[in-house]
Amino acid sequence: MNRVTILCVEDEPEVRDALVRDLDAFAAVFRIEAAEDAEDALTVVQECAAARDPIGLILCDHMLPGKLGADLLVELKDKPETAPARKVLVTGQAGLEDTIKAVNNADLDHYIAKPWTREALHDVVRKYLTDYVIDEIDDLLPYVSLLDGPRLLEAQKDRSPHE
Amino acid sequence: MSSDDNKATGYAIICVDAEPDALAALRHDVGEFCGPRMDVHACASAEQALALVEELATAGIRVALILTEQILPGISGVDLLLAFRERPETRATRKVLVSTGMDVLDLSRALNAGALHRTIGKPWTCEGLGDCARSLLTSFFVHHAPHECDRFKDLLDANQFPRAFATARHQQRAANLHIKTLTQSFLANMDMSDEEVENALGAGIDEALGEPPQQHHPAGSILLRQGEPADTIYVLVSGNVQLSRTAHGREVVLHEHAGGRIIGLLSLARRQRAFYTWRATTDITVLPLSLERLEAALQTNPVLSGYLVTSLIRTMAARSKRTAKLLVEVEDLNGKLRGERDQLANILQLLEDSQAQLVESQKMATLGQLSAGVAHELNNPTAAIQRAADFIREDLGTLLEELPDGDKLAAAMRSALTREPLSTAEQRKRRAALSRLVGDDALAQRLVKAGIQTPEEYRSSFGRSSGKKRDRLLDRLERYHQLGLSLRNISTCSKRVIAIVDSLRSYTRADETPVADVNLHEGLEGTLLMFSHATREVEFVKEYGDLPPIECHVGEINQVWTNIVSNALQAMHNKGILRIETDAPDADHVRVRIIDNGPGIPPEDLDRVFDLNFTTKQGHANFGLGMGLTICRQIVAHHGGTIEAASQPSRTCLTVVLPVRSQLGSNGG
Amino acid sequence: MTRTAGRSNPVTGSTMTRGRWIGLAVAAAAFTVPCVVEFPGLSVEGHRVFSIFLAAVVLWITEAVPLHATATIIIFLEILLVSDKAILATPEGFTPPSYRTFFATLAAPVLMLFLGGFFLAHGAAKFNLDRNLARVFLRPFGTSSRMILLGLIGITAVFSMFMSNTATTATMMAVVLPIIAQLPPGDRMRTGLALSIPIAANVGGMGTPIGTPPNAIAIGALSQAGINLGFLQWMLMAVPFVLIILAVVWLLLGRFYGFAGKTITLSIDSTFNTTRQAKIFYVVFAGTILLWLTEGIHGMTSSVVGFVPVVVLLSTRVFSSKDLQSIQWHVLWLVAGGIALGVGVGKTGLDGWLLGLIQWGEMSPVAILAMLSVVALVLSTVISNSATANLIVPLAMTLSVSEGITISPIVAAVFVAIGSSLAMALPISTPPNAVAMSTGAVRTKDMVVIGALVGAFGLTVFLLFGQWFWSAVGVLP
Repeated sequence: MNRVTILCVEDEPEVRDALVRDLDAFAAVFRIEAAEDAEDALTVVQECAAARDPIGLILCDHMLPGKLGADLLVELKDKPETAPARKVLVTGQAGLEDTIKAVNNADLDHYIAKPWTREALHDVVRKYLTDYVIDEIDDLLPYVSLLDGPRLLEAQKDRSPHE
Repeated sequence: MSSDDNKATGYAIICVDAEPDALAALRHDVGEFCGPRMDVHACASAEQALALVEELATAGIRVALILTEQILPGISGVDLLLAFRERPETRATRKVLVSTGMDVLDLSRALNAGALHRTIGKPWTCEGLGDCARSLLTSFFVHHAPHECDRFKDLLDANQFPRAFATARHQQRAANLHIKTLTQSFLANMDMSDEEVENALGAGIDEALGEPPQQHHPAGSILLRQGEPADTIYVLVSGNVQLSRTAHGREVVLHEHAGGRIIGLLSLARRQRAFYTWRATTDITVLPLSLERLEAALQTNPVLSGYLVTSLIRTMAARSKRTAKLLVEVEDLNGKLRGERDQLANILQLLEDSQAQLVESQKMATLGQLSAGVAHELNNPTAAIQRAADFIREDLGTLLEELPDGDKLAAAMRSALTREPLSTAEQRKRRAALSRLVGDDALAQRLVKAGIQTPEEYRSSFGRSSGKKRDRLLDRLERYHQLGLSLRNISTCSKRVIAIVDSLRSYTRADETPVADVNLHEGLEGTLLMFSHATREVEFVKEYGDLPPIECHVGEINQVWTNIVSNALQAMHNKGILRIETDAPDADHVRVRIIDNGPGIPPEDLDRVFDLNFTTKQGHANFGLGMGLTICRQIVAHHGGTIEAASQPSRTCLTVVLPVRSQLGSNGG
Repeated sequence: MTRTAGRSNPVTGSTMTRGRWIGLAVAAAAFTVPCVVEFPGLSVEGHRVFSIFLAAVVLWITEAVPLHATATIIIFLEILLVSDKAILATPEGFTPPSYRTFFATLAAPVLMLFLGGFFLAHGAAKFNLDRNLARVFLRPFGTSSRMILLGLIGITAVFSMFMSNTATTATMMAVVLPIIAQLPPGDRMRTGLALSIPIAANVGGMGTPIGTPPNAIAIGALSQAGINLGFLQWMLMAVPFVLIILAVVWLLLGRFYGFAGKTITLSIDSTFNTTRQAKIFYVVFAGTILLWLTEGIHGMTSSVVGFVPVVVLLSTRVFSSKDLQSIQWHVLWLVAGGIALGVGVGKTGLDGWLLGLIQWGEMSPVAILAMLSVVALVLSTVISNSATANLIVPLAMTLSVSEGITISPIVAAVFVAIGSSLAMALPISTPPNAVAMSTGAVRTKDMVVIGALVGAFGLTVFLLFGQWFWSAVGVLP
C-alpha cells in the first residue's frame, strides 16, 4: 500500500478515540494508527516498516505508563524508521524541562496543549505532514488536496516530468 | 620558568616567590620596568632559581639582579642570596629581598656577607620597585660591565654615572679603609642603648659640623611626604614623629614613636623617594642634614659611621618588629572576620530553610482550600454531564426503534457502550483479520469504526450484501457506533472526574474531628478500588489480620494508603504483585505493610523518600498525589504513629504503625 | 531543523513492481521478435534497429524503466548493434554510421536550445519571477470572474511557452488554490478554474520551440535532415493557432462552469527580487528572448542563442553548480534518445520498409497528416508526449520525403509535435492534468469532456488552415 502513517500514542482510551476521530479527515490518504503505550508504539513502527508504510507524523502524549512521551520521542528519533517523522507532543502536563529535552534531543516539532481544538490540530498536522512529504516523498500530487496545496505544488515544480 | 631566547640580551633578572600571584605580580612589574631589554625569569623556589642559574651560566648569560621573597619552601630567600654570593658567576648579581616577614638575624646575615643590596617591603609600588631596580642595575653595570652601560642606558640612572665612574676607584679604596673602622665601631656600639647611640650620633654630628642650625616645626607639620624625593635627613632633637603611608587611598599609621631619631636615612641611602610620610605629632626640633653635610661629618669623624649604621639597623629592627606585630594583628582580624562570615552564612542558610518550609506549609494550606473549593464547584457540572449522557442514550434507543434497520443500528451503538475496550494491539489484530476477509484495508478500518470486529459480526451485519448497499449500511453503522463510543467516553470521563473530586475531598478533610471505631480494612479496600482501572495486570495479595477498630481521621488515613499504593504501582509499572498485610503487634497498635515487587529503591535514596519533592517518578504529579510520602509521614505523625520504608530489589515494604487510641483529641485537629 | 533530505522512501516508487517486471519482459520479447522472424524486404541491420524500435515502443508505453533510461538504452543498443563499433559484424554493403553519431545526439544543437529554456525557467522560479509576473499581469483583469479566467488562461499559456508545462501549472495552480478554497464546495467555478490551468499550459506549450519537448524533437529531426526552423518561424506557425484555441477554451469554460456575473478577488503576495543577481537574470531573460525573436537580423540560430543564458548566468555566478545540477537533464536525454532512434531508423532503411507497409500514395496529403496527428494524439493521450514524438516524428519525416507524396517535412514534423501536445483528455495524458486532478476540484469526467473537445478542435483547426496559413506567412516554401 505504501501509505504515509500518522501514529498517535495515547494511553487513555477516551482521549485516543477523540484524537483518532479528529484525524478522520486525513484517513483518505494517510494510514492512521493508534498505540496505547511506548511498547505498543514500537510494535506499530515495526508493523508499518513490514508493510513499507513510512511514518510521517507522530502525535505523542507525554504521560505514558512507564515512560515519558518526550523520552519515547527521543528513542524514536534514533530509529531509522521514525527518524524523518515529524514529532508532536500532545499533552497537558509536560513541564518546561521535558519539553526542552524533547526539542533538543528528539527534534520535537510542535507542542499541542490539551484540550485541543480540531482546527488547531488540523493546522498542525497539515503543516508538519506537508513538511514531511516534501522532504521524504517524490510524488506530492496525492497530497495536494488534503495538505498545504500551494506549498506542495511549488515543491512539485522541479519533480514532475518536464513537458 | 621562562625559556625565552636569552641570547638576545645576555643579562637576566630572576624573581623568586612561592606565592604564584605575588610572583606573577613581581615578574610583571619588573618586566614593566625593563621591557624587552632584559629577560625576566620567575621561579617558585630557591632550588629552581639555582637550577636556572646553572642553565643561564652555560648559556653565557649573567644574572644582573635577583629579587627574592624570604619565606620560601626549602632554602630560604636569604640563604639563596648567600648561595648567589658564593657562586663566582653570581657574585656581582644585585640582590634584593622582597619580603613581608623579615627578621633582623636573617637580614644581618645576608647584609654582613655582602649578599643583600636592598629590601623591598610588600606591597611594593611599581615606582619604588622601578627606582630600586634602576639604581641597582646602574651599579651592576657601572661596576661589573661598564662597557654595556651605553646599551642599557635607558634602564640606568644616568645621574649616577659620572660620579659613580669617577668615584668608583676612589670609593673602593676609601671603603676598604672605612670598613675596618666601621666594623670595629659597630661591634663596640653593640652594648649601647638606643638613646646612647642616637645621642652619640647627634653629638658627633654637632661636633663634626660645629653646631649646625636646628629647625623647629609645630605639631602636625610634615617633614617628608611619601613619594617625594628624599635629599635631606633629619635628626630628631626633641618631640615625636609619626610614620604613615598611603595605600589604596587610605592613610595608615605604621609607626608611632617607633621611628627612631634619624628621619629619611633609609630613603636617602637607597636614593629612593620617601617611603613614609613623616608628620610631627608634637612640636619638634630637628637638625636637617644634607647628604653632603652628612658625608662631611662622616669624613671628619669615621666613628660616626658606626653610630649611623647601628642606629639604622636598630631603627629597621624596631620597624620590622612593629610590622610583624601588625601582620599578626591583621591575621587575627582576618580570622575573626572569617568566623563571622561563616556564622552569617549559617544563619542565612537556616533562614532560607525555614522560609522554604514556611512557603511549603502555606502552599499546602492554600492547596487544601483551593482544592476543596474546586471539588465542590466541579460536582454540579459533572453530575449534569453524567445524567445528560444517560438521557441521550435512552432517547436514542427509543428513536432507533422507529428507523429501518433500527435493530442493527441499536446493536452497533450498544456494542460501543458495553463492550470492554480493546488494547490497540488487539484492535490492529482484528483489523488485519477483517482486512484479509474483505480484501481492503481501508474498508476494514471503517468496519472497525462501525464496531464490526470479527468475520462473524461482519457476516451477521451484512450477510451477502456488497457494493453500494453495504456501503450505505456501513456508513450508518459507523455513525451510530461512534455515537455510542462518544457517549461511553462521556460517561467514563465524568466518572473519573467524580473520582478525582472524591479523592480531593478526602484529602482536604483534614480538619474534621477524629472518628472513633474505624475499620482500616474498609479504607484499604476503598483505596484499591480507586486504582482498579489501572491495575489489570497487578495481582493483589491481601493478608488481613484481626484489627481492633482505631481512632483516626478516616480521610487522612485513606490519603496515606492512596499515596503509598500509588507510589508502589508506579514503581511496578502497574504490573506484578502487591501484598497488603495487616496485624496488631500489640494491644495498643495496629500495623499495615504494603509490599511491592518493583525494582526497589536504591539505598542512597531510601532516606529521602519522605523528603518533600523527592520522587522516583520523573516529575509525575497527579493532583493530590504528588506530594506523596511527605504527606503520609505528616499524617501518620499527626496520628502519633510511624512510617518506615525498607527496600531491596523486588521487595519494597512501607510499614505504617498507628496507635489504636490516637492522641488527636489532646492536640486538637 | 536538519533532516536527511534523501528521498528514498518506498512510496517514491523506486522499487520494481510486478507491473514493471512484466513491462520489461514484454520489451525483451518484442526485442527478440525481429531476431527470430525474418521480414521480407528488410535488411539485416534494419532487423536490428527494428528490435530496438519495438523494445523502445514497449518501454515508453509501459514505463517499465524511466523514459530517459529508455533513451539511453536506445543509444547504447544502437552503438552495440549497428555502429562502426558494433559487437556484431555488420553486413556487407552497409556502411555503419560512426558510434560518435549516436553519442553526439546527447549534445544535439536542439538540446542546447532547450537547455537555454531550462535555464530561463529555473531562474524564473529561483527569483520568483513567475509569481511576480503573474501578479503584475493579472491585475488589469479586475475582479470579474470571466476576466480573471481569461487572465489566468492567457498568463498560463505565455508562461508555458517559456517554462515547462508542468512547472507553469504548479505555479499557477498555487495561485488558484486559495481562490478555489474560498469558493463553496460544489461550485462549478472551482472545476472551471482548476481545469483552465493545465489546458492553457498544454496549449501554450505548443507556442515556442522550447515550450515542450515534442517541439524540440521535431526541430531536432528537421535539423538532422538539414532543415533549420527558427525560433520566430515556429512561433509564427503556432501562436496564432494557440490564440484561437485558447479563446475557444475560455468561451467553453466560461459558459459551462458558471462564471457569468460573479466576482473573484485574487491576492498574490510576492515582491520583486531586487538583488544584483536577480537583476542580472532579468536582463539575461529579456535579452535571450529578444535574440530568439530576432534570429533573422543577427543570424545566430536559436540553438546558439539558447547557449547564451547558459554561458552568462554561469559566468556571472548568478547560477551556482547547484543550480546546474537541478536542471532536468533527463528530459534532454529523453529528447536525445528520440533523435538517436530517428538516426538509426533512417540509416538502416527501416523507415522506408515500415512506411512501405501502407499504401500512402493513394491517400491525400491532408488525410496523411490527419492520420499522423491523430495517431500522435491518441498515443500521447496514454503515454508521454515526448515518447510519442520520439517514436512518430522519424516516421513522419521519412514519409514526407518518400516518393509520390507532397508534404513538406516541416509540416509533417510540426503536426506530430502538435498532435502530441493536444492530447489532454485523461489525467494521465500529461503531468499538468495530474496536477489539476490532485487538487480534488476536478472530476475525471470533466477532464475527459473538455480535454477531448479541445484536442479535437485544435487538431481540426490545424488541419484545415495550417498549411494554407504557413504558406501565406512564408514559412513554407
